[in-house]
Amino acid sequence: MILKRTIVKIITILTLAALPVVAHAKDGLTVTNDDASIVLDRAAVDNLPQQEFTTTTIWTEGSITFSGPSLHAIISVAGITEGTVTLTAVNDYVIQIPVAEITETTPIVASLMDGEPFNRREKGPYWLVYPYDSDPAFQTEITLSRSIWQLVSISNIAPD
Amino acid sequence: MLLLALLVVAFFILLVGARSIKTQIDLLAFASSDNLGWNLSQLDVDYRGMTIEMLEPITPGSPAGGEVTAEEFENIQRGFDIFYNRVKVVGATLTRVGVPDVIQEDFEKIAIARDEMADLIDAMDTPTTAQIKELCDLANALGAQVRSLSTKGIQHLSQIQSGAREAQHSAFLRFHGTSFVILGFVLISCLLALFLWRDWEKRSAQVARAATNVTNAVNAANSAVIFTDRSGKITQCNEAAAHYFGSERENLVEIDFIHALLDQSSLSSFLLYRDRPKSETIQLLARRSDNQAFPVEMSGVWQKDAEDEDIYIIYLTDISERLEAETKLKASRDEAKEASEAKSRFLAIMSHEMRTPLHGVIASLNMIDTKHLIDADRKLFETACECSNRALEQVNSILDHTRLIQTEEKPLPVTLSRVVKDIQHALIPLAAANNNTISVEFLGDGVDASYRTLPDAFSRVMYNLIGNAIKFTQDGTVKVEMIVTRGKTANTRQLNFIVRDDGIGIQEEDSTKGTGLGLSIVKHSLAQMNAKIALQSTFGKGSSFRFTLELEMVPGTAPAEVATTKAPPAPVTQGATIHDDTAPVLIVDDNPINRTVLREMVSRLGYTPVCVTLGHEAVTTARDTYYSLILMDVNMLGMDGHEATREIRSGQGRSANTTILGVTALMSQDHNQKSESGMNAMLAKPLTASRLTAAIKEHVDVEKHQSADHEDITDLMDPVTARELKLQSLTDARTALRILSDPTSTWTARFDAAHYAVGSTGIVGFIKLSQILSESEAAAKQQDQSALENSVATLQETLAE
Repeated sequence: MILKRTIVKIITILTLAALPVVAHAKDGLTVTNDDASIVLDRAAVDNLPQQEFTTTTIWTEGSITFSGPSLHAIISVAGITEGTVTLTAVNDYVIQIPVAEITETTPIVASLMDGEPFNRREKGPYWLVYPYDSDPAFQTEITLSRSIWQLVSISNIAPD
Repeated sequence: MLLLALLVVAFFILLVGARSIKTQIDLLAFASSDNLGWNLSQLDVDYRGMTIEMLEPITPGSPAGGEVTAEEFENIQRGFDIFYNRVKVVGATLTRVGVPDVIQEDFEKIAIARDEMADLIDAMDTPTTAQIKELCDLANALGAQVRSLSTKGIQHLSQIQSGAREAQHSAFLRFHGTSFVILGFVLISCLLALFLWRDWEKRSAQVARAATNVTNAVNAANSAVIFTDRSGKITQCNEAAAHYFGSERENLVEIDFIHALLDQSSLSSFLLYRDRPKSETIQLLARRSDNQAFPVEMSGVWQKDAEDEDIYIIYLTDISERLEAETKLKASRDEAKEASEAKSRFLAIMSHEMRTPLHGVIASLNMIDTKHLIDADRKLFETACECSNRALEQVNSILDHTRLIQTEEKPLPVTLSRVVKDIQHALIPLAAANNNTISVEFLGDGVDASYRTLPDAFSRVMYNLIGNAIKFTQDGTVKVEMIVTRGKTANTRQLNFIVRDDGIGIQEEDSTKGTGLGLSIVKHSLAQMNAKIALQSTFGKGSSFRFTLELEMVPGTAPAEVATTKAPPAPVTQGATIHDDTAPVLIVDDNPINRTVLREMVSRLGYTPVCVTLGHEAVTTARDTYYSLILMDVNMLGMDGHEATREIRSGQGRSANTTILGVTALMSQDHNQKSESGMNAMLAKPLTASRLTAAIKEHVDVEKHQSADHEDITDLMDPVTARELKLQSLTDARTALRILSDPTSTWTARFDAAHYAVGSTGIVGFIKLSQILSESEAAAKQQDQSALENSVATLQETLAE
């Protein structure tokens, strides 16, 4: 399993590296590691190993099944392994997460809610979510404030 | 227990308080409502962001100039999408938190307007300025609602939050109160614990003090105190122990007490004592570290120590000094005893030395023919006789007294009634001299029984009491009573003896002093039998002496040979004719005075005297010559009387079977029993003619002339005495008859009575009577009822005559 996952990862990186740098691509997610930036389009995001969990959120009604790659998988694509990552939303909402606090599975960059893609009016196309119901530790203010929606970029460079 | 309960309650209260606090803290942690505040404020921000984007194309001087660029439209779309999402989020949050209708209404208006705007935007492809303006107007119309919603929402939120804070506040207050209660409990617990601790400390101190006291007491003790374990190993000891054994305390610990500190000889007695605990102490021999032995007194006790192990505590006292003192004491006691004995010996010797010349005086006076004396001389002669007799009596009394103190008698079974009778008989002549009569009366059950007592002491008492009574009575009666009553047990009897006279009596002041040595002897002898003399006396009317003996009866035993101190036999009148006997009498004495007196006496009695001065000579002449009698001085230089007697008896000489009468000054009274050396009797010095005659009669004549009955002792007596004796013997015969014919009397009693009467009647010459009585005696001995009945019938007839 691990070997397979590693091979997939290597292939992905090689593929991504070959892609031309395109700004503002449709549903694009910019990932920046120091000077190097890559933009993951929807297909790229969907190609990464997927995580899935069902939870309620304080911002929505009813239980929702979220799926998408883990944040860990995404920053790994850009080769970020340490430090702090800065995530920015379309409305310029910015949060920072130390890499040390990112596990291999949590949080995830959800690209599907109940199996459907969701647009900007529905906090899409990417929403950083935690499995809030699974642990009260995910109900703290820090966790809630990190749950950034309408996510557009991830970077290991600190904002000004 | 109380402490534990308090702590449990405090813990419980603390738990409940902490739980409620935790709930409140958890509430604080989940800041969901707080997020609503952020969203509400962002709603306003997002609204304004959107309107700014919308105003951009329609503001005069825009770069496009009436045209809406794609970029501007994209910006408007993005701003609207952000606002759209914000409204959605706020809607979801409001539903979740729950808000008043007023706010809900505001929100619904906004939601409706938003959806209208969405429809408009979605319908646009390349929007015109007019279209944007329309959108902008719609947005502008919404402004008031957005403002109102965020304002009211925030206000409501702060109300909720203030409510939550109040709830938290009161929860903290409760916890605060609870904390005080807990504090109280904890304080009480602390106090309790403190109290308990103090109490425990006090007890520990007491225990420690007690232990210290015990230790101090043990250490301060003069006796050695040693603690050993089961095997005898010393675990602890005190200073005295270390001192005793000449070692240090710490050196004694771990030492094997039994094998290291005890002498080998004391080992078994120690082990026996230790394993069979007794209350008394034992004496052992212990060994010092320098191996020197010393005597100790030991006691021990088993105890349990703190670990419940057996320990043996040994207490030792060094008794070497005590034993030394005891030895010294014993030595000085022996010394004193020796001195006392020496004194007695001195007295005895003195008496003996004084008696020998006195004997000479009396015997010489005895032999002086008074018929030819003139009256004046006769008076002087009588005075001389009286004085010499009194002097002898005094010396005898002193001798008696000395002997009394020296001798230690052993209790023997004695028929006391018989002793009394013997003494009565012995004293009849003395009584007759004062014209007195003696009567004896026995009363009660057990009169004839044997009792275990001191025969000599009893005889002395009776002899002296009756003798005294006779001495102080003239022409009167001396009554002797023996009354037997029940004793404390079935085997014992109380014997009450009373000696009464109707003589001159004793004056009170004299009674305390006693009447000379006689009463002193009585008192001393009674003391030996644990009895006391009681005296009642009226001056001029007579006296009565009484004493009581509580004695053990000896059932079924024949009366023992009664060692009565025989009184001198009936005195024989001087010049009595003695039958002629051809054989001479041998006199053995190393004292010339005695020899002279005895020779004279013997020759006056009609015998031929032959004198020798030494024991050897006596043995030699006795071998070659037949003598009818040998008078043997007991105490002689060289071979003494007993030795000489043994020689004569053992040899086959001619006088080997001759009667030998011992003569001694070491006795005050004659002794009728055979000596172990072979003397037939012992005669006390000074020997008087009368007593010699009596002795010859008893030991020589009786043997030789038992069948020759013509000799009548009464011939030797004065008529009055003879009559008395005859009457007495008849009384004895009657008493015997009564006892013999009484079917209830025992064979022993019958034998005794007959035997007594045989002697009594024989001696006064009632030969026939004596013979019949002797038949009865034989019948009684063989317990032959028919023979007895025959002889009793004959006896009755004879007595009737």
